Amino acid sequence: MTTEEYSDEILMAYSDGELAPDEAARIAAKAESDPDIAARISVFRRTGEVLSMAAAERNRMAPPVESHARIRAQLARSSGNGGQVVDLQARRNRPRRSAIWSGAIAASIALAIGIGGGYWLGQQPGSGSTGPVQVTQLDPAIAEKLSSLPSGETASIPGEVSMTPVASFELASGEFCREYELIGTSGSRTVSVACNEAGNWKLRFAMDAGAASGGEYVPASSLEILDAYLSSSGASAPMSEESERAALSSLGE
Amino acid sequence: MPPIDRFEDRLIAILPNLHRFALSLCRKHDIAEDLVQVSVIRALEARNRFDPETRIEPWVFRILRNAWIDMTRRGATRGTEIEIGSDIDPAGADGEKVTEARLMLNAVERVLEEMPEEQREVLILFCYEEMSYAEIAEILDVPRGTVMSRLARARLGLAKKLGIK
Repeated sequence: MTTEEYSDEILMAYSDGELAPDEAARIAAKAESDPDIAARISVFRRTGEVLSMAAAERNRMAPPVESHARIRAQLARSSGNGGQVVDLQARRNRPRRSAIWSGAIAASIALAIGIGGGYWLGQQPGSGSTGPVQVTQLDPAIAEKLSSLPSGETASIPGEVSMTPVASFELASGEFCREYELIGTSGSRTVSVACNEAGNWKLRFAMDAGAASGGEYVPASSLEILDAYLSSSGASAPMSEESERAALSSLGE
Repeated sequence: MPPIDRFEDRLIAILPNLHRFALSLCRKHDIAEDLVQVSVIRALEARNRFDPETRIEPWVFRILRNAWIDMTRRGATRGTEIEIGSDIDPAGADGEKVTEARLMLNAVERVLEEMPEEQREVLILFCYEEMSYAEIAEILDVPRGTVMSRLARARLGLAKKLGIK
């Protein structure tokens, strides 16, 4: 009965549509006349159906993975640079849990200390000087977008070209913060972090990330500084779209 | 340049699939997240070896599986497994109606738990991730015939346990 010709593997491949057409036709003809063969095929068909049903339910139930939001954001803006930026990102995502990245975080903090120009803390982008850390009120148009625009979407801003929230996260202190990019009319690109204090957005970090011309994106080396800043602030992994939506809607309350 | 899907966009699209597959290998969420990140980095490093005319899933799944093998060889992490199903609410606990699909999923997950590793792996790739026999063979680096015999055994075992006739 169970010859090689009608092995479990062959009948399964038939029910999965994995046989060449002529062989499938041969099995179909055999199944017509042989109820035993038909029954064996049906077991494979039924297991396939049960498993697809389980798979659909499994995917429906799966919680969003927080770290994916960050990988997504980084992949979305890394433009063929061989993965450097994602590497940095992965470190930022996992400051505590994974030893894989810790050496690299230390390296990026050392780099931040070693670099003199190109970034400043707590100052309005474009103000030029590098003073002590201070809290700075944001342009109301930018603040408004920070309270409403989901990460990954871009809005135009009066006096600037565009503004794009990159990710949302919480600091160790529990403050709700967002990283965003601002493209200026001169083609400048600023990467900033602002946190919400009792309903007001305050700038915490801003960095000149190089010209925005020609689709060139932030070089990985400059993002290391942001990376170090976020690590030292105890920033959480970026929120999922869902958590971000909830955090944004609770701002209005 | 013709506007084909960027490599990065194709990776983004399969992040949930990668996480699911990683979870089925290591059964711990934090390790699964590490595996996905490591795999994305390795995929970007090796992007020149990817044929953009082909599906990206099998190619990255293979990278991920190799990363997992590396990780376990380096003295990691198995042994302190948690239930893979633990991210799924206990049936009905949240007041949601217990659906037939949920019961089915729970039953399938229980059978998968008891299944030999090599059968579980092909079953997950075929049924959950919808890979073809040839793609599974590529991911596992075994002949297509081996995939077929493992998958047939796994399906017959499942049918028996679930009373599918």
